[in-house]
Amino acid sequence: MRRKRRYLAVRILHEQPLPATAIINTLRDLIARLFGSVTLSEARILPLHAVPDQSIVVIGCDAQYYDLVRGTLSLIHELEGQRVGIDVVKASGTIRGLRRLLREKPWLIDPKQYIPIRKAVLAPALP
Amino acid sequence: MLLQRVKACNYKGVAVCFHDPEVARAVEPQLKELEDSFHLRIAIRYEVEARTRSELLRMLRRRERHWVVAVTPRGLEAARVAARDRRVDIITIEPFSEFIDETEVRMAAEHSKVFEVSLSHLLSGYDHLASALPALRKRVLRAAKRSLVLVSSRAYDPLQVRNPRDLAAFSTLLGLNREQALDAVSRIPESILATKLGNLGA
Repeated sequence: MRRKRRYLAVRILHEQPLPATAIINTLRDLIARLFGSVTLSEARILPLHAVPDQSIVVIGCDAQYYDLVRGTLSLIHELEGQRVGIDVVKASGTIRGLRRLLREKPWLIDPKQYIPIRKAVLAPALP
Repeated sequence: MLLQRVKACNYKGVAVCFHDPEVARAVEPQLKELEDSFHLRIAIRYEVEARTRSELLRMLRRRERHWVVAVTPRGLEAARVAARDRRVDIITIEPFSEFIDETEVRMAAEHSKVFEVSLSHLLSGYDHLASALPALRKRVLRAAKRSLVLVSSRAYDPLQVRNPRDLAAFSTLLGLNREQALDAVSRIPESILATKLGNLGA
């Protein structure tokens, strides 16, 4: 049976430019360290894309591990040596739904701004 | 800055920590003004850390009736008194606290005390997380069997504030089920604020 996914739009609050891959690496590292590598593989963390100007990263994960992934994200407080704040702004069962929900936010995101995570450098975003 | 972030995270109320009651009394009028400008319910939270019974009772005598009193026990004697004393609202659970045992939980439950877990205890480096999280989970599971558990950011700067849904997800890592996790960030703190601010007629 096909396993369902959840997609999360994560806003990273930080003061210096930051590669978007940093959050994925730290998230994977933390899950492996706290819950083991089996859980990490079952959580199926999928780096999707980023909106660098808004400092938003879109991540996919297995629906069953949604709370675990979101809870672990809330434990992230430092990336690449700089202090960060993490805010899951939206979560949805489809990427299309997530983008639609993000458009309802006051700070409208232009879909053209979505770029792959591995290429993205997030602009500073303060609380 | 901190209150802006709290407001942006859609919180309805917040408790501001003070260790010194004199400072809390001096700042109280300003907090009232902030409450109006931010449209947030702001309560004063009096943080008490005590090792012995006499130390705890001396500190509790300095509190005001409408403050939320949170005790972090540093000794067994203080922990047992905190669990019984009607002036105490919250008992803080720290990852390696030795005093949250079965007796403490039973006594706290009999006197309707709430246990509190703070995310900020885990935001001081990744190295100690692997040991701190299971230790905290063990204590939270013990407390949640009989008493209510609330989860807070206990943020000292805006970057430590997490939105309520993120805190609820974090609570599930501590072994709370979904319903308990949502109550831990909404119903339980709300009821404490309502009781305390109700005394002020707010």
